[in-house]
Amino acid sequence: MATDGIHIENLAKAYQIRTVSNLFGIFSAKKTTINALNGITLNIDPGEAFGIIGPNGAGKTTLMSCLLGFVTPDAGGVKIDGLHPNTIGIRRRIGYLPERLNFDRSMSAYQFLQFHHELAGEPKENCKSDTEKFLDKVELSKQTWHLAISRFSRGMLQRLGLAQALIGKPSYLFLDEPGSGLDPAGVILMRKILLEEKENGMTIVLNSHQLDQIEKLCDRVALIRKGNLEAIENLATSAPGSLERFFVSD
Amino acid sequence: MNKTIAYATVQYWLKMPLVISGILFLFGIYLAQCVMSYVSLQGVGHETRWLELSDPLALVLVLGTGIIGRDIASGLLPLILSRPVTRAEYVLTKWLTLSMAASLITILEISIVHGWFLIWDRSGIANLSYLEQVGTAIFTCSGLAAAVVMFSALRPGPFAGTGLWLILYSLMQLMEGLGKQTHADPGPNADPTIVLVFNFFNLLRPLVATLAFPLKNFIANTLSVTEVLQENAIHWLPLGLYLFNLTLAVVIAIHIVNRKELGYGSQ
Repeated sequence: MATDGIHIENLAKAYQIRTVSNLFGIFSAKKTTINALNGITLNIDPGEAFGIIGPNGAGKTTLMSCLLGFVTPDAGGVKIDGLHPNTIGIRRRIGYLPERLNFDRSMSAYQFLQFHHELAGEPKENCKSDTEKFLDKVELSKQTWHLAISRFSRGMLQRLGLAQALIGKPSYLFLDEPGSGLDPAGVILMRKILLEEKENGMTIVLNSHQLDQIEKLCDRVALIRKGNLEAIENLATSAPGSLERFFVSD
Repeated sequence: MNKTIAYATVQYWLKMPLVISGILFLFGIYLAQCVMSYVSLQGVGHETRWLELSDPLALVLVLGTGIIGRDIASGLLPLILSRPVTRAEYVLTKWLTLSMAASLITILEISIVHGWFLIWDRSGIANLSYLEQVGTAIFTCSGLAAAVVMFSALRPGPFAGTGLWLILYSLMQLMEGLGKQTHADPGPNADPTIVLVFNFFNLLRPLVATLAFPLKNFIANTLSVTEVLQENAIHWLPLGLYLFNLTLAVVIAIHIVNRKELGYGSQ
């Protein structure tokens, strides 16, 4: 399978928000345009771990949504391996862990992974072994495998979300705030898993507020503010604390 | 059709006490109606009337509430669409699952009643066409399901789509009712302004009813096989209208979901 990486070309996205300034909101409703992304151009190489950081409302999640084809940009475009992210062939190569985990909470963790295994079009005969392999990988204890997801803590949900994202052996892994809600052991485990996957050639795109996690995992980081790409830091060559300085100067 | 999504949808229904109790309630109501109708009409020569009581509208609404809107509002849809599933496939699967589930339940209802009369009252079964009833159930459930899926895609949330459907359906009923009313007369000594208002109302009435008819047919798209196969010939007009409305509803649902922005920012 040819991997060409991710190419983002002049990506722009604006949202129109209706602001209401009186009680009834009929006569004085105004539409305000918020530029979530202002012409972002960047390339992510195959096998690279790429971080996206920025303050709240910087446009990180919108960028992630455009990368996954959930949001249609107003201008510019995204190509993954030379194809649009909405192409079925590309969907087979991606794994996604969303920022806000939403599952059918009546399902058990086991059923949830089986559901995604089937959705990913993986061979049926591997379903049981793959499901158990990924549950083991994220260190969810066997007692929790058949519990309803509604009884899971935030950290357990995040581990399950990671297991779900890894199903289908994706070439590209998109993680939106993967460390949120995880305890320190969970953060260390997640980093270990991601580093392993990176060594196996997986391209990782990580959107996170946890600078230490980004620094320990990523090769390069895009610094985004108010929808603009301010800089791309190469963490191998940049000075220590450069990411912190970005936030301090905010 | 995506079997995994269809199976998960059915699983969801089976785990929802509200859906299960709704289906059982409708099932009970239908059987009770049949029994009452049989008792009251027995010997009058209308033995077949009870079988016309099956109306899958409420059933489709119970099953179809939030069928797509729930996934959009809860944020489940992005996770599904990050897999190799197209949006059109997702919508078609939801429509087919709803159509099939509602059809199966309706056919089960009809079969129970047919079986009952076959055992207890052989005289009543002579004029019944079981296959016609089954055909009507399938067509009606599929037509209604298409509209319910379209409304669910239109309004994210568990109940918003069905709510909007109910409002529009009630409005169409009201408009149709207005059209059927007799000519309103202000009386011989009425004020000229009142007469003008009445005249305007009388002028508008048929127009309102004419507008309501196709809209109601679109959002509550049903087809009676008996009507299509009258007098040993196929009547193409009701069949064509039904297929047109069904296709239009499904295409609109796909279009809405295709255009839906699923990022958190867009919400």
